[in-house]
Amino acid sequence: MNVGEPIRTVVVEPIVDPVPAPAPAPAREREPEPASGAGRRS
Amino acid sequence: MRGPARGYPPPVDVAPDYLEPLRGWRLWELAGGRDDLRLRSLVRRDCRWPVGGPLVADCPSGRLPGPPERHEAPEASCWCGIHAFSDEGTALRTMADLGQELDGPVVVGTVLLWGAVVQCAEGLRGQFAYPGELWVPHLAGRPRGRPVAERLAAGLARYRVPVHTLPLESWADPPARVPRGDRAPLPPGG
Repeated sequence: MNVGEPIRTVVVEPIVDPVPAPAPAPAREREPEPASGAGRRS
Repeated sequence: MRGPARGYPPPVDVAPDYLEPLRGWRLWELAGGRDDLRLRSLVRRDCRWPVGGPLVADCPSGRLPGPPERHEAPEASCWCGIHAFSDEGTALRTMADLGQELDGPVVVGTVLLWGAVVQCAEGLRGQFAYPGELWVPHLAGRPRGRPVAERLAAGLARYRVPVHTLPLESWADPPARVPRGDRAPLPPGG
């Protein structure tokens, strides 16, 4: 690709990252809640 | 501010001229298979565009025989850097020319450039680049054209940018602009 003669050099410092953020990791399945009373000391 | 990009320091210690990436238009070939489809540069065919991180320019002149003249890319007096056209129509006309010549598919789209950027008469040469939005052209009259283009577009979704198919009546008569539809306008900056 020929883009022609250079005119000037500029510095571009984006405030927001131009690279899209990676996809969020899939949510892990929650551990089942202990049955009512489970683990209760008698 | 998160900086010019994750983990990429500004190229020089001066106040920036722009706080948004500059946008241009360019063309790519495709490389890889269904599970690792990647954009590939047309001129430097060993250059596969990374997913999830910017392509970083280097100057291949340092790899040529003779006295090393290594420099940071892009250098205004060299031709190095990641190239992009300023004009959408130029990119589409070039796409049409290449579509007739190449045996593989060609992709057209916007590219975001940042870091040091050499502004040229007909485009830009950048230090860092990432695709902005992609179109996979196909000939509308070819029965397998659309499904193949859709499959390629699905594969390019890994870049996490908008990807579209672009039906063409013929390679000889490309559109002057890609169809915008009812999508939000592209961000400024180019």
